[in-house]
Amino acid sequence: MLTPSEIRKRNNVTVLGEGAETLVLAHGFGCDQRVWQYIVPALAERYTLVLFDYVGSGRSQLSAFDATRYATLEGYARDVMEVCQALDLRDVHVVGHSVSATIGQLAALEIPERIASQVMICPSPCFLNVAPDYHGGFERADLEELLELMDRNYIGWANYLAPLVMGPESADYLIGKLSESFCSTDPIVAKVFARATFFADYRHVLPQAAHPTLLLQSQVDTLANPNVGRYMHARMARATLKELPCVGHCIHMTHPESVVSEIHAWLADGTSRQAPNADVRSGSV
Amino acid sequence: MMYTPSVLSLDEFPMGCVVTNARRRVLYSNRYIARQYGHAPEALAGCDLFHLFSKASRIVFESFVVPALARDGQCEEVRLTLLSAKQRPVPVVVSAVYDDVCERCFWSIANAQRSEQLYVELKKTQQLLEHKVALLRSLSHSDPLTGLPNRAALSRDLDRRIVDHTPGGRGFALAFIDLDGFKEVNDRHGHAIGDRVLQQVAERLTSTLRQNDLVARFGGDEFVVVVEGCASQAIERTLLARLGSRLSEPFVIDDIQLTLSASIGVTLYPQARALEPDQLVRQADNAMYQAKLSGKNQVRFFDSDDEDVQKERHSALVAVNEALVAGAFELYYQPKVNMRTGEVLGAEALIRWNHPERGLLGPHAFLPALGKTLCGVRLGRWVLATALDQLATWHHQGLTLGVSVNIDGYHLLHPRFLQDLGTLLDEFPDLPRGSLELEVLETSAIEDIAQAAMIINACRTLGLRVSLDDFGTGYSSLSQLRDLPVDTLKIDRSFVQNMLTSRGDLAILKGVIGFAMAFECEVIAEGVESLQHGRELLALGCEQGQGYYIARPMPADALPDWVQAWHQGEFKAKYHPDDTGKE
Repeated sequence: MLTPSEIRKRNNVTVLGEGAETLVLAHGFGCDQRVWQYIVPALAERYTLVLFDYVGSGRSQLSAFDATRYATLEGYARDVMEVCQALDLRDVHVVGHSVSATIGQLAALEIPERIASQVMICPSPCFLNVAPDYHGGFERADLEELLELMDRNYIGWANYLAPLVMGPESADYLIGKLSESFCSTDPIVAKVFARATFFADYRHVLPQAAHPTLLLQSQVDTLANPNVGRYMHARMARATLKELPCVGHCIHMTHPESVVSEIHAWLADGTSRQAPNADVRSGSV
Repeated sequence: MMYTPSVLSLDEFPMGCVVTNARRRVLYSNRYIARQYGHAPEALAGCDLFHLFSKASRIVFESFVVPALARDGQCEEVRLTLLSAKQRPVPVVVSAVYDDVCERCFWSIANAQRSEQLYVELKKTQQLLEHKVALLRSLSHSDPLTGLPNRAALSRDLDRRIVDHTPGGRGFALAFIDLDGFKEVNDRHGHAIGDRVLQQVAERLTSTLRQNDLVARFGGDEFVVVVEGCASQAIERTLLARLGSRLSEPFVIDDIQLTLSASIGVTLYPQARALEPDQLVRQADNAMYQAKLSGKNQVRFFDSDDEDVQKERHSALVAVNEALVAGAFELYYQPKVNMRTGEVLGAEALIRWNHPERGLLGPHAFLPALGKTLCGVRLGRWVLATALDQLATWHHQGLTLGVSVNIDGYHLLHPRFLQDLGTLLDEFPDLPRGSLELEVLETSAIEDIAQAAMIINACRTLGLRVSLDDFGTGYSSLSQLRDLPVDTLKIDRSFVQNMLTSRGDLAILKGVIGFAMAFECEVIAEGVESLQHGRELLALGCEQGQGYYIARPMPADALPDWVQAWHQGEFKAKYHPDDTGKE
C-alpha cells in the first residue's frame, strides 16, 4: 500500500474550504479537477472540498499509470477509495461528473462506511445503446470513431514515432513532456480512459446503490440524455432525480449556480436524503 | 485603399463561419457552409450546433471543447467530423471563441482533408517503422530499457571469454543478481516506476564495475555481472558485497523512496571440468537461489560439491520411484509388548527395500535422501496403505493387535495428508480406528507446530492414535509436548541403550517418563536389548517396550507365529527366567 502522502501526491489531491460536511469532487473523462473551478468558490464557503485528478489526468503522477488497472472503472474507483482512505474521510458526499458518477458508486460499494451520499452530475451507467430498450445514446461505431478522432487530435510525429525509436518500454520517457493541449492528458492514457468510460456497462450495479443519491440531469444532453436519468432513477433505491433546464453535458461549468444551489439544497435537506426514492423534481433554474 | 468592414461579407471567406448562442443554437452560418456541406443558412438557423457533427465529435466537444471554452474562452484547432446535409462525414478542423460576455460563440470550420491525408500517411509510416524496428531489435544486442547488453549478448561474451581463456591464465567470476522485493515495487507503484528502478540498478552496477567487466540484463529484475581477472572468493566477495550494498541504497523516483536489496549468486571460471556458458549462468543462478533461501540480501558462492550431492540425490529419488513401481519395498513388523503382563500391544511397521543388487536395505540406507520430497511423500503413502491392508488381514484372521506407522514431519504437513488418510481409511470401514497409530518422526524439524497440532488433532478425532517418535532427541521436545496432543511418547533408543551405563541418559529417561505421566501420555521405550534394560524400565514405571530382546523386526507372515510363541512361553522365558522349571 502507498502511504497517505504518496496517494496525495499521486492523485494531486487538493483540500479546500472548511465546513463540517466533506465533498469529494470527481472529474469526468477528458479533463481534470480544474473543471470544478466554477463551483468551488461557492461550495468552499460552506464545505470542506477534496479535489483530485485520476492517475493519468491533470497533474497526477503519470508514472503511476497502469494500463491494466485503469482499463476498467474499478481501477478509477480505487483512486477514489484510496484518496478517501489516505485522508481518512468519513461521511463523505461524493460528487461525480458523468462517468465519475459510476466510479463514485463503485467506490461507495467498496467503502460504504465512509460515504454519506452521492451527487451524480449528468451520470450515465452505459453510453451504448443496448437492445431492446436501453438508449445510452451511442452505437459501438460511434465510440470507435471517438477513439479515431482522439488519435487525430493528438497528431504529432513525436507522439507516434518516439516510442518506436526509444523502445516500447520507454513510452514513459515521453510522459510529462507532452503538450498541454486537451487538458494535458497523455494520449495513450486518454484512450485507456475513453475505452473504460464509453464501452462500459455498469447498469447492473445501480440496484446495489445503498446511499442516498442526487441525480442532476441536464435537459439537453447528448452524452446522458434524460431517458438515462429516468432509467437510473427507476433502479436506484434512494435516488432523487432533478432535471435542470440546461443544455450540454458540463453543467457544472456552464450552469455553476444551478449546480451549487442543488448541492446546497441536497446537503441542507437531510430528511429528503433519507426518503426512499423521491419523485422527479423540476429544477429551480 | 483600406476596406471597411461594412463592405465585406463573411460569405466571401473560404471557411465555414457559424455563430451560436450559449445554448448551442445557431444564430448565423455563412454561405461556405451551404456550398461545401449543403447546410443552407435558413435550414441551420435555430438548430442545435450538434446537428452539424458526428456523435463521436459530440463527445469530443463535451469532453474537451466545452472545458476549454469555459476556462479560456476559446478553443483552437480541434479535429472533428462534420456531417454534410446528405450525412456524408467530412474531416474538419474547428476553432471557437466566446464573446466577452459568453453569450455568443464564434466558430470557424475548415476542411481538414489534407491533414487527414497526412494522418493516414503517418499511420502507414508508423506501421512500416514498427515492422522495421521489431526486426532490428531482434537482431540487436542491447536491452531497450536499460541499454545494457541483453541475454544473447551475454552468451556471446561468455563464449569469447571461455575460448580466449588459456590454461593458467586469469579467470573470471560470474555473478547472478536478483533484486529482492522488486515484484512488490511493480505491484505497488506500477511498471513504469519498476522500469525506472531497473534503469537505476543498471546505472549503479555499471558505475561500480570496471571497464573490462560486463553487466547484462538477463531478464526481468535479473542481472548478470562478469568480473574479469580474479578467480578467488576473497577478492570477489569484497567486490560483490560492494555491489550488494550499492543496490541497498534507497532509490528515489518521483519523490517516492524505495529500498531494495539483492541476492547474489557467484560462480568462478575456470573449474575442474570444462563448462558451457549456460552452465556457468545456471550455477550462479542456483547459488543466487540459495542466497534467497538463506534470507536474501547476501552473496552466495556456487559449490560444485553441492551440485554432486544434488545429482546423487536425484538419482536416489529416481531409484526409489522405480522400486515403488517394481514392488521392491516391503514392511517388516517389530512387536511392542507390555513387559510386565506380557500382553502384545501391537507392532511397528518398518520399511525394507529388497534391492536387486545391494540386498535387503533398512530405512537409513534410503530415507535420508527422500527428505521433504514428493517421492518421500509418495513412499509414506505406500507405507500407510500397505500397513492398513496388513492390519485388516490380521484382524480378519482374529489377530486383533495394533499397528503403528512412521510419519515424517514433512509428510504430516503435506497439504493432502488428511485427505489421503481419510480416503485410505474409507477403504477399511470395519477396522477399529484405534488400531492404527501414527508415529510422528522428526518433530524437531517441524517448523509449523500449530499446523502439525491441527493435523494431529484431526487424526485423533478420526479415532487414530498418535505418538511422538524419538522423544527426547530434539531440543524443542518439551515445548512440543505442550503443543502437540499425542497419546504416547516413544523414548528414543539412544537413551535406553545407555541407561545402564550413563547417569545422564538415565536422568533423561526418568525425566521423559515423568513428563509422560504429567501430560497423561502413555510411554514406550525403544531399544530394549536385554532383560536388564527391561527390568530397569519397569522399575522406573515404563511398562511398554520394543527391542531386539523382545523380537527383531520380521516379515508380516512371521508375526502370527511369533505372537503365539510369545504367549506360549517365550514371554515367561525372557522376563521371568528364574521361574522356568518351577511350574
